[in-house]
Amino acid sequence: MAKDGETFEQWLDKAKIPQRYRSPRQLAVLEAAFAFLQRAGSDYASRRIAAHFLLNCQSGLKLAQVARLVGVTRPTASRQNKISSRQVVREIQHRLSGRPYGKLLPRYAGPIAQFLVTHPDANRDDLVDFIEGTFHVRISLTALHSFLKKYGLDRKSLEEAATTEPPHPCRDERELLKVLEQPAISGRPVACPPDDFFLAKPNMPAGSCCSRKC
Amino acid sequence: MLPQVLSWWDIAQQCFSDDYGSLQGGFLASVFMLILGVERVFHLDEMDDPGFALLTGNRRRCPSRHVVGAWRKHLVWNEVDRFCHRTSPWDLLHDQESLLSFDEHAIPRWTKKFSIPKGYITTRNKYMRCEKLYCGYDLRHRRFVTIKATPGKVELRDVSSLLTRRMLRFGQPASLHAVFDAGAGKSDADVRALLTLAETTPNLDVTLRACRYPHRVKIWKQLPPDAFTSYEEPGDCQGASPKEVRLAETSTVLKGESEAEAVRTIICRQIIGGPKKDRWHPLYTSIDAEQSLPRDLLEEFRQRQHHEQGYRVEVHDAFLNAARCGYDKDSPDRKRPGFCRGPLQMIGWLVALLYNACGDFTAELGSHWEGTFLRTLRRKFFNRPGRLYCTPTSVIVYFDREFRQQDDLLPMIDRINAEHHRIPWMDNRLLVLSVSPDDRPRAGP
Repeated sequence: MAKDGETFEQWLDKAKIPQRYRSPRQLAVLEAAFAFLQRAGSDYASRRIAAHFLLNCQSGLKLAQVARLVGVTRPTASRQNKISSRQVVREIQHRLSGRPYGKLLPRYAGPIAQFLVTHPDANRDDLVDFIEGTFHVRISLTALHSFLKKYGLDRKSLEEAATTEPPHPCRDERELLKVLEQPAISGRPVACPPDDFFLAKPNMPAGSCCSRKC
Repeated sequence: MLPQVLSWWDIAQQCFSDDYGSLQGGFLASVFMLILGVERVFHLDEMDDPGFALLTGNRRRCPSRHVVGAWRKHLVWNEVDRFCHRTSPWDLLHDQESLLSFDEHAIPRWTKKFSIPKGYITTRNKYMRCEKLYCGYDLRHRRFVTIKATPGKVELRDVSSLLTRRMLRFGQPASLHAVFDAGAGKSDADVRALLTLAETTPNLDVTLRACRYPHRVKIWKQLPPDAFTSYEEPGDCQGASPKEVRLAETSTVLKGESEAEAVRTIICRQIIGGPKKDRWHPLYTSIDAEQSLPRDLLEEFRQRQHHEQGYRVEVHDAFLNAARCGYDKDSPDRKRPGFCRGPLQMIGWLVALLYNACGDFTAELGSHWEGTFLRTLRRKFFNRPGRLYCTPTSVIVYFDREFRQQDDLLPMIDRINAEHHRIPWMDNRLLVLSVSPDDRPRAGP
């Protein structure tokens, strides 16, 4: 990473850029990046913009070399690779706003809720894998627990929600009486009663009224 | 849109009495009907949408039209005035150099049973039974700022001073330039009243279109040609010949006044090619010649067109003409049914609030969405399929199908989530908005 007082050569040497990557064309790009970092400072946003530029300007530098130039680890640079400029700006904004949510943004709650509903037997590791596969972030179990608890998606809350679900008028007689007491409204669709509401189907081929005895 | 609705609901709870327990259902249904595009209150009968039922505070079913209609019917004018005042965007005017337009919107009424006053409907070009809404519109920010409902016989000249004074008192602008259509100055006395108000108020200027009475037009037509300055304006479309506009400055002596009291008048003559007559647009103004050039003044006055456009959007996209009538249908005397302005003004103001909220929404989406109409926003953003997950602590709204405009919406969704809005009618659950992950493979090339 470029620091004050550091020369361009020192910066390249520190980042272990081999001589074969120091062609005039590459040096021109690197010199511009060095000047940018010297002028703009070494804050997160400047380094992120410089890294995004170096990764996408087809300079021929390897990912690890770019990571060393801007002072981030290789996995971080890998994660930041192949994303749009728009996404970079958004991530910078999140970072500047203090990363109030860590890696798990509140808007991830929807897919996570859907996963929990469609996979009721999934354990925490399955959920972590789902999050990594969907949002490309690896999170700790502690962060996951606090996220789930905050939005009422932890197992205890979901069980509570299942037990406190209001009874349906078609299944509960008291609820049915309450509905019947309410004033009738024309045009309101009537809920379809469940199958067990009706009597069992007759096992005879025809209705009893068709019998000769009647 | 929900954060705005939550703020309106907070204010509504403080402003309206709730003797019959219908405030929540009535208010929320009235707001969300406009947002989602339910045109008439009796359309609620056919609604069977659990999402709408949850939005309106009922977990089981959509609100009945009888409850909503009864709540609207019994709205009291002073409570409605209080709500309108507290939800008005006064901050747009505070310490600003404001440019406000005041104009009317006439809602035609077709009743034969009740005898209600008639007014002039410009779009139908005839006098007919109607009720009117008078709105103040901020031309710089393009937002409605105030409203007043009146019977059809009331004219702009009757309420122009009242609305202007209201803006000055509550908006506290650094300076206010009020522009009016010709209805504010039908008689010379009305013009003089407005100009006197401008003279006695240090930070107020008034411009109104002059009525084209034949004797006045005759005088204006006698102005020498060298009094006019000619300007060229772009044509109607690309490749069309430019329009020629000629501007002149003169003064008009009002009835019963002397030459010394003559009013500064800007004469705009639009040259029309061919056999058609030229168009004359005279403007009376209280602004001195040193303060503003005629062309600048004309440009400012022309901004009034956005106000008219705002009414069109309200009518066609937010069903303003379906606002509840102001006359009393339970009146014992159908020839004199009386006028209750509460219901009419309330629905008119809810439509205006929705218009403003949509303006804020598009401004946050980005410049390429600026000026998008409400109906488009409804199609692109509001009426989207999704899933609702109600947990003990939160309501997760999940738009599980990716849509094209999703990326534009993400910063707004993040902001709303960060603001931690809680929904009072859902046991104070936290509102969480969520969209589908955006890295799914897209169909097609």
